[in-house]
Amino acid sequence: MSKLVRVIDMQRCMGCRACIAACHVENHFTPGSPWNVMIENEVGVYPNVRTTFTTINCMHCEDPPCKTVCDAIGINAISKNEFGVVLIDYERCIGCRYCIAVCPYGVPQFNEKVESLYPGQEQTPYEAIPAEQRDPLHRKKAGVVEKCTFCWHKLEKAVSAGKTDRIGKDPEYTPSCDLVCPVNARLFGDLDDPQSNVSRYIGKKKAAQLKKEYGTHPQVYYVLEGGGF
Amino acid sequence: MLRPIIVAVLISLSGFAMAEDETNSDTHKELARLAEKIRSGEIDVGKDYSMNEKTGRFHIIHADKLMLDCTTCHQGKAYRKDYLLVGKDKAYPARAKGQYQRSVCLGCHQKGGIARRWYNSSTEP
Repeated sequence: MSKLVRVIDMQRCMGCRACIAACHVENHFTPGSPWNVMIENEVGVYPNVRTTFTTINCMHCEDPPCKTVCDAIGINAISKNEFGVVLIDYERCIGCRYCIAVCPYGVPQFNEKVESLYPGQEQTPYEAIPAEQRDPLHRKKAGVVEKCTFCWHKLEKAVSAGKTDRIGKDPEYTPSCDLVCPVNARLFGDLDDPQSNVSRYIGKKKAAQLKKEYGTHPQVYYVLEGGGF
Repeated sequence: MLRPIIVAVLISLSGFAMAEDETNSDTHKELARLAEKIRSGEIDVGKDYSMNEKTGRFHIIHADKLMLDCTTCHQGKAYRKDYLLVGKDKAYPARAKGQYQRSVCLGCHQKGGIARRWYNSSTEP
């Protein structure tokens, strides 16, 4: 069994936003519903000040409150698979937004209407790809909630090819945001493997989860740098 | 000389504190009773699973039945600068009561709280 986790090293991140751009392209970003954002925070006291950069995406919690609340009202649109990836089924989602209310990280995004990247202009060829030709997780729909999937459409390929050991190593089986980082501030891999890059990095750099007080056990770890987290 | 006066002041203050504790405890018990009645269906909160302020269960439960003031959850229009939240910079509807602080939910919805459990305790392994 694998427990897929991401490590984000804030001490290395320089705020270039390549990961944000990669996510937008890979996951058919629509305005108003970002899956991956960067929060800039100024820390220190003048003149000793600096900016820290924190990219936030879905934490794929081990005890996801979004799933708990969705199940509690009998919708069951949110699932957590055997690799620890939390996914939303757009066909089941009723857009109640309770998952948004309970997520401590504000991750789920309600897609009020599917807007064009360039309002008032024609859709780009990329946006015009018909829903049936897209991965189900990229079939954007108004009135439902969406969020980061850990690029499940890529991980799924590794699972069907029996190459789960290559997740986080081969570009085709690794989330796009983790591939493009120019300063290697992002890692992705299996935490259940003590020899994996993520296991070693978490141990070596003392990476921690955000907002632990909620007891959700996030599967994204941060090497923290300043700020009151 | 001053000692009896200080003692008298301390006694009266502790009396206030105890009274306040009792009031808080009573309020808490009343909320717990209401929460149980909502869960059991004794109090009807409708079937509209939405955030609608008038008809949605969310606001009916918290604002109408539990009578929580808007400011219990809603704060200003913007979050603190270091607050880590994906939708932090999203434009907020002008007529809405403001962003809400998720930590407020922990008071009742964490393991051991009076409401349904959405969160585990922070120390749980």
